[in-house]
Amino acid sequence: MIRVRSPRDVAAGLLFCAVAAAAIWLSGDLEYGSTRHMGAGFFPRWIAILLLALGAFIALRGLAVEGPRIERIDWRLALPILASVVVFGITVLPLGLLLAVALSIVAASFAGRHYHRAEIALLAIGMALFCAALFVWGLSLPIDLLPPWLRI
Amino acid sequence: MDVVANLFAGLLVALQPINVLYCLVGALIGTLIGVLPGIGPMVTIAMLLPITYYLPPVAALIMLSGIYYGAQYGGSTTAILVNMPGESSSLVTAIDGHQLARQGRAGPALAVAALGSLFAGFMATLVLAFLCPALIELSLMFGPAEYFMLMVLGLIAAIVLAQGSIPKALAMILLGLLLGSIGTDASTGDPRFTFGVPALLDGIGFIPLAMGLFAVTEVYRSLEQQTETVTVPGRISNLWPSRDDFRRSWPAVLRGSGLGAALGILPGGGALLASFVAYATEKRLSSEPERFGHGAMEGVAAPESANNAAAQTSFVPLLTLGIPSNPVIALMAGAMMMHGIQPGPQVIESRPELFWGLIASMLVGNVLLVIINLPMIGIWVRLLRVPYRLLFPAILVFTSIGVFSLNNMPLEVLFLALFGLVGIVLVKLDCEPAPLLLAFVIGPLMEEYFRRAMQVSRGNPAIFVERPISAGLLTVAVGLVLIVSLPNLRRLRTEAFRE
Repeated sequence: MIRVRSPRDVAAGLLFCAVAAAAIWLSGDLEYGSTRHMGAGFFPRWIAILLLALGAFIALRGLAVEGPRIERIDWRLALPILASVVVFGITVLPLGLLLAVALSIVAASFAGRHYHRAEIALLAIGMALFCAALFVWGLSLPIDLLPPWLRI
Repeated sequence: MDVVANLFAGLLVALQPINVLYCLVGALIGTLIGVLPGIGPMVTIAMLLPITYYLPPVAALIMLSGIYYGAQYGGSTTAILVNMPGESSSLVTAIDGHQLARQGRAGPALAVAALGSLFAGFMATLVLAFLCPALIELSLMFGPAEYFMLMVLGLIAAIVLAQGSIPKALAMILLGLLLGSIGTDASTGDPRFTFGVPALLDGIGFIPLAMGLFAVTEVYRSLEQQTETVTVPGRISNLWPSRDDFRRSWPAVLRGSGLGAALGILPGGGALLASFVAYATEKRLSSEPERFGHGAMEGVAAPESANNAAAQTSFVPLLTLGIPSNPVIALMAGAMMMHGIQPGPQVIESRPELFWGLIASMLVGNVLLVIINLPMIGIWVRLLRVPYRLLFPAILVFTSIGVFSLNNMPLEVLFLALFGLVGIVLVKLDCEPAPLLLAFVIGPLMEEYFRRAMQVSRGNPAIFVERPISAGLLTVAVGLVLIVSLPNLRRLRTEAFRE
């Protein structure tokens, strides 16, 4: 049984190897050409081969040299953070900027602690108005403020 | 003198009301984020980048660079007052600066930091003004092989001089090069790694990538290590340094500025490295090294001068060779390209008002910063009371809007979330995202120069060792990797960063 001495390095190395292998496989469809007339696949193929070698080295070293364990991702923080961005992306066109900002703030607030409920509401409304003032009125970005279907 | 005349012309550009205004805005924002922990110049510039699209290019670059060096001023304020460096480049300032504050001498420490930075800023501007034309002259001798090697050297040096594991940083560079090759190949026109998705034909957006890896990931990192609220110190009475402070500080400021200006030019250098080296140098040169750590004024003067000088001279490789030397400068390169300006030696010819205006604006900016910082210190300190739980949702929303406003494409916002997740995973695996971004920016250029070099040599890779400048650059790059791979020196490097 192989003992993993540095899980963090082994995981990183394997991740690099996986990406490199995928890139080598995908670049098979691209024209390789020759050094004289490089095809589209020439440069990425060589970079991927180097990455594969380096990833393998990092992973193998992780088997030999003692290193830190992998810290878990704290999903109670990561999910609200990512959700805040996703919510904005999904809602900004159908619902307009004001609602998208407010919803995005509410989503993000799940990552914070010690909130008063009123604080979140104030932050959401305040940020929505501030963003409207700055981006739409101030910088005249072409973004709808309100849901476009309200404006008949 | 030609340079003086040009600098004067640049000063006229920088003193146009709109440019002074954006210089002030940049300096203010820079100071603000320098004071606030958990949000640095990287994140801020990434956040504001899309908005600068709506500004004239000169004003946009003046503002963005103001943020970078302005953050160096702001970072020292919190380092001294509450022992909490707002920026990583002010880490060493906190050692002696906060001791001085505890002895009731916060005012003089802040003044020395600001005046040292001012002097360093002036000196770095002159270095930029005189060095850039000379380097551009030199770069005319460079062919594609030299440019390719220069980029290789730049990428290697960037990781050697940074913290962290070298093999992983190298792997991150390769990953960045791969990501950069997604999209339509510039010279053959073939789509690469696009999976038939039309949105990928133009490649991955630089902004969603940069903001995902930095802004979003940084929010996660800050929330994870969030600490208790800060105690804000009372009023600062006396600002003026004593005669003894002056006597001790001025040589330190001189040395710090010189070291900072030199280290800033190196690829991978920049404010962080410069401040560490400057502090260590002062300590070594001092006749009473035991005073360091207990409130030595030199320990504030040197690193603060160094980080400001380095922040400014790190523009040299970008403006002369078109190679960004650290991630913040890579964002500046992105800003230039958004305005249709390819960074490189031709900028000084084709856009002299931009080149000299940007350099001269740093003089204006540094004066503004001292004015912003010293009399208004109380206001900045009060900002420390803004809790992060109110700050981070705002950062996320600004980031999303910034990405969306680029092309009004919701898909790019989803990419932002994806790269945010990638960034979090990479950080958990101890892989710093900075080299990836640097390689992503340089990658397409590097491939192009490689291709051209191969055409020149008719497919013979020996061109890289046959041409003397290229061979020299290659030797330095290989030497750097070897040096840091040797166990003794590796230990030295780790120690240098721990100190």
